[in-house]
Amino acid sequence: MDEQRYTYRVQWLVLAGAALLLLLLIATWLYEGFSKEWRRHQRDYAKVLSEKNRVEGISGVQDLERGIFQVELPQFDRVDRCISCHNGMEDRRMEGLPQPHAAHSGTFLDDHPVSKYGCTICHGGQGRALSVKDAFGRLPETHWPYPMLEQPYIQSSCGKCHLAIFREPAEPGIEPGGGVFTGEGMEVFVGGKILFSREGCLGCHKARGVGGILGPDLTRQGEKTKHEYSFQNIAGEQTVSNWIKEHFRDPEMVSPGSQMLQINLAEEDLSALATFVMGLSKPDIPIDYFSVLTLNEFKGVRDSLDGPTGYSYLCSACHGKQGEGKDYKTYKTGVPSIGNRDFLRVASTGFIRFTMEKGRSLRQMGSWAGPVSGMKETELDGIASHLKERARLTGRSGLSAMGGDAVEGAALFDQLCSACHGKNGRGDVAVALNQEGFLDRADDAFIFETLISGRGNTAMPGWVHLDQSDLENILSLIRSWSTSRPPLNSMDFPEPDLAEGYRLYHFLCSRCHGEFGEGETGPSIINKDFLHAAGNRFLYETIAEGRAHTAMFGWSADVYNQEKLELQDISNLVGYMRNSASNPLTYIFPGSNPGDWERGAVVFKERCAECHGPTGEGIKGPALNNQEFLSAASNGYLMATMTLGRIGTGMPSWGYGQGDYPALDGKSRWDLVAYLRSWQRIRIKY
Amino acid sequence: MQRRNFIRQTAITLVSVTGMVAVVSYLRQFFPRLAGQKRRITIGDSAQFPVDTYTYVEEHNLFVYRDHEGIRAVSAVCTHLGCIIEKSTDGFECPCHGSCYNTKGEVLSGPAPRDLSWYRVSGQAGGKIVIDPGTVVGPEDKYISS
Amino acid sequence: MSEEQSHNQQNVPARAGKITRNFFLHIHATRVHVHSMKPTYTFGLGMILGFLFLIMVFTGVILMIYYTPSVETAYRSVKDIVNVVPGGRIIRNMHRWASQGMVIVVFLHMLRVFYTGSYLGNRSLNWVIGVVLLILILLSNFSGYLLPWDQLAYWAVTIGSNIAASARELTDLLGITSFFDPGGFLKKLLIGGEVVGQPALSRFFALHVIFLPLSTLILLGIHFWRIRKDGGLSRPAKYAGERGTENKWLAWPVLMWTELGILVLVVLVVLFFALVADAPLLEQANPSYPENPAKSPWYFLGIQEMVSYSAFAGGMVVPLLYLVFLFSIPYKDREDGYVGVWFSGRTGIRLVLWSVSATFLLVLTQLFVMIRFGWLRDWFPGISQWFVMLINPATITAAMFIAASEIVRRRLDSTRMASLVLFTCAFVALVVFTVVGIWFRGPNWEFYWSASQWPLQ
Repeated sequence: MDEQRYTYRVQWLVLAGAALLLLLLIATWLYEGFSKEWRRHQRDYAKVLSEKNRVEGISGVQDLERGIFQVELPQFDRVDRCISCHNGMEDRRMEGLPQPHAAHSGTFLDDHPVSKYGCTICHGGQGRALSVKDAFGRLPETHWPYPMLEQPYIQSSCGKCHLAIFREPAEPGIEPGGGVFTGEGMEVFVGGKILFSREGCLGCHKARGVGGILGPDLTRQGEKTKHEYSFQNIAGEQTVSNWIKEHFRDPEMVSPGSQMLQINLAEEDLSALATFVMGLSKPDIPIDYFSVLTLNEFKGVRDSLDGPTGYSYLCSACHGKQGEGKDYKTYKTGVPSIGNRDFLRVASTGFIRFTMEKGRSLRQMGSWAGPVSGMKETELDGIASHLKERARLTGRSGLSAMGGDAVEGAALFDQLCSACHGKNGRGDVAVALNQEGFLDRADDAFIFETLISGRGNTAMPGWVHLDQSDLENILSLIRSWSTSRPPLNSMDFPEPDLAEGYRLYHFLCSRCHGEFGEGETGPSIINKDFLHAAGNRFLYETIAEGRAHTAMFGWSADVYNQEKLELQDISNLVGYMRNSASNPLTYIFPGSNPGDWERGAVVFKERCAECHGPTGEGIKGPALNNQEFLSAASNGYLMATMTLGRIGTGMPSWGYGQGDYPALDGKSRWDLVAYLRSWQRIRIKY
Repeated sequence: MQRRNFIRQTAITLVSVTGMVAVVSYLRQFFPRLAGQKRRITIGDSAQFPVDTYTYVEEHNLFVYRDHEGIRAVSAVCTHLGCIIEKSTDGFECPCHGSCYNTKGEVLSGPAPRDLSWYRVSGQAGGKIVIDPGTVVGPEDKYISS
Repeated sequence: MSEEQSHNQQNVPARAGKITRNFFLHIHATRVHVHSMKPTYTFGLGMILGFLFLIMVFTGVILMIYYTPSVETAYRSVKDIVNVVPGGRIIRNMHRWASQGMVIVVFLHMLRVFYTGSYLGNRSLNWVIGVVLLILILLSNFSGYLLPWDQLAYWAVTIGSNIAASARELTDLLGITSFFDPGGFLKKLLIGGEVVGQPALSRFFALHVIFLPLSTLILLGIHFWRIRKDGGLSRPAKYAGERGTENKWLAWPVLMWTELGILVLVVLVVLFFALVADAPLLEQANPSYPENPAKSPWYFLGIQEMVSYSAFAGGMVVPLLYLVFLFSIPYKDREDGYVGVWFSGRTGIRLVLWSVSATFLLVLTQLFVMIRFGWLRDWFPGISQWFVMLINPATITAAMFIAASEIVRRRLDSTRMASLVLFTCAFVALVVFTVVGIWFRGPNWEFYWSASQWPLQ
């Protein structure tokens, strides 16, 4: 080929190429330069503004700046360019106009000026973007993890600065700077917070240091982006709010292997709860943006939860809002019904606190001790006493045996008390009540008090569900077994010497009453409830003179080889006992155990193994071989539960017989207690 | 002439040696002195780890497994090319090239050349759990905590 | 013939002077051989590469003004380039697509140079310089890949740096890693630590912006100069006897017009792509959330596929063998008679076609077996890692190719034919592995026929 032809061809190529390139360059320039979205919006806004000015008769020449407007927020590490398109956002006159020219709704900008807050910290979205698609950040191709939020989920942003989980939602607070926080505009969020407390989420999850450890910590759950969730089993849109709602609808389907319980909420409740969860966060912004309550909570300084609120936050998810528990069909190992009347009158506060403190191994009940759960001692005590209070009927006034009917009382006694106290109060597994020696010392107040409160950690339950007249009838019956009626107790003791009292107790009393007064062959006497009911006179007379027909002999009698106790000694002894009873809990001692465990094994296999499992591991009934349970439950607790059963559950009353289950005699019941006790391998300290 | 030669040779040798030393010390600048990869780690109380669960500790790239008998810690870094492995239903899986491990950290399939390393776990006064990535133990060695 | 054209025909000294008296132009010779101007001989690939490099430099300077190489601000500085800088989107896209173009074109250029035997004769050194330039281009691309600091970049470089450390597989098997760790050495050199972080970003930025462009520029200069020294572009043997101005055109203006044409076309194509397709930018890098699948840049996916069989064999042994082979070609093959002819004649064409089909068969069969039936560890659980490392599709393929080319060398008694076979086989295998790695590997590096079948994450 000839050089000329070649050059000519190449020149044509260059011509064509250059022409195309020029066109392309001009097209690019126009496209990139003039048809940008924000330029269009600013042009439109200029027109809108001049129209408005004309209508309102405002004169003057407009000199609107054109360009990219941005708010630089180094405190948030952001730059927001929303105002490049949303030009009229801060102008009150632009209310009601179509977006993007409309003014911001409500009065939010008064307390949250754009110059200090920007836009995206509340609305989400991509602040640096300059097109609608990128700014909203909702589509997957925008690759933006914080899409713009719509109602009601935008209310979750309020939680970033204003959420105080442990403060009642309705209370307004004084904000730094003097403004009053009213909670206006975050109603759905507040609704979600109420649901959060009501459904007991902190039972498994921790938030701001308080709660359980079965589920993940939720303190910063709201900061998670959609990439941190798995959408494998989610139908519907791939957004965080949808995931959370689906998760609430069916946790196990969304997260296979999850142990989260079903909660069954209505649709708008689901949205509210999702809004709340999305607001759980601990943003990395300067502290003067937060409300004081929120800041305190981050540091662990928070309001104390009272008993019912603490129960609602922590226990209600598993144990039920009314303490009803879950049966074995709903939940494999069942959840004890701790609001149950029969449970609460048998379980002492010590038993409840012990279980809360130690949990129960091999079960979902974990330890709620302070370092683990973030709860304060007083709050845990509050929950325990709230539970005990539930079972307490109100409206019982003073007592009088005078008004009672012994015949009615006999019927009641037969029905309720005879399984332990024997027919006509002659005694069986429990002390005899028809003894002169007892009845001429115990006054009405003592008996009444014992009836109502029971005796913690012994087999005597509190008869909280009996009304005034029933109690008076029983009292009247008991009184009818004796002719005397002792006066109300009152006796003054000299100042006790506690060390001396301990010596006396240890050498004289502990053999029968247990080293720690928990009861052995004799009853439990270093016992809060007993010592609360028993006045000094009762104690003095029993110690000094003993109790006829029992192994308790009087210690003031002049008997060969026996130390004789004077008033001072008895005062020392009683002082030691009262002091001991008020000491903080260390161990729960099992107490009297007269049964034969080998015989008990036989009975257990016949009667109990069907529900409680052949080794007490629990099938349709709770596990009885659980070490924490056995360390918390005294023998009295076991005896009482066995004897009375538990109303509304599958535990029949073995003392009286119920339905298909015939009664067990007292000896068998003691044998069973001994057998259960034989499973205890370790003694756990509180 | 001998002396001149000698001086010439020595000069050349010296310059070459100096040059090499200069080059090596220059190249040394490209390698920062980074230690601290295997420091002992304190990860809080045993009660904070749910039972029968492999808890991923993000900052240190390991899994802590607590059961009723004790606590163990295993590396979460795949031995093939260093990706972070995920817990699967019967062990661990690496998302990068599909290496599979069983619950003991042994390689079942995939290109991973070694089993996962288990680290020594011990206790400290105050109940805190301490993990020592510098000491590799067997998969059955547990720290029994109270 | 017009006046100007006849004037040009005659005014030789002036036209020659236009080249020799100009600082920038005088790297050209004053005359070019007719054969060199044939489009179907070189396809202008080298020139395209040069202009692409120019585009990279010019767009790169603008990007460099707005980009900040710090892990906190890198991502958003790239976003601001795209959103705020006038024409920033175009500049960034041009930079990205031109860089991808460079990788493709540099391989095509290498194919052209090899298949036309243009490393023969006295051109051995230039070939070696070319291979070094290939490596520099890949490294430039790789170092630039990290700079946006998004999920794509971060995990690609994490995988790449771990491939660099793949010698650890061998040293671990031998148990000597604690005192001899070349894998760790390479990794530390690359990213300044064990994980990708600020040190890696700073290093890559320095590499990408100063060290690699300068090295490329210097080597390019030497590359062009060597072409001059070696007598211009290679030509077939039938032109070997020609001297002086025989069969040559003066460079001014024809070569200048040609180069102008190529420049205009290259810019046009790159600008067009920049307008219609945006360079990807995923979410900001998050070390806690690996991408699944985590893929290195596409040109390394062939290596990544091989690495999925065995880190050391696929990441070190086979690539090093490949590089050693490339460097050694002009020193093992000295049959200068084959210079300047595509595929070196009928035998060559047959051999090349045979190599292509045999390679396809071999590689695809092994892949089929591996995907359908598993590999050694699935059949013999607990098998020693030595077997897995030494027997896998990467090593088997490499061994068979070396064997095949040896057989050809002995049978045909020709090093050129042998190198044709080995080069073709190796390149086709690389392409197949790369294609598999790009399109057929999904989450957990499982085989999927298409991305639509990938399970939801």
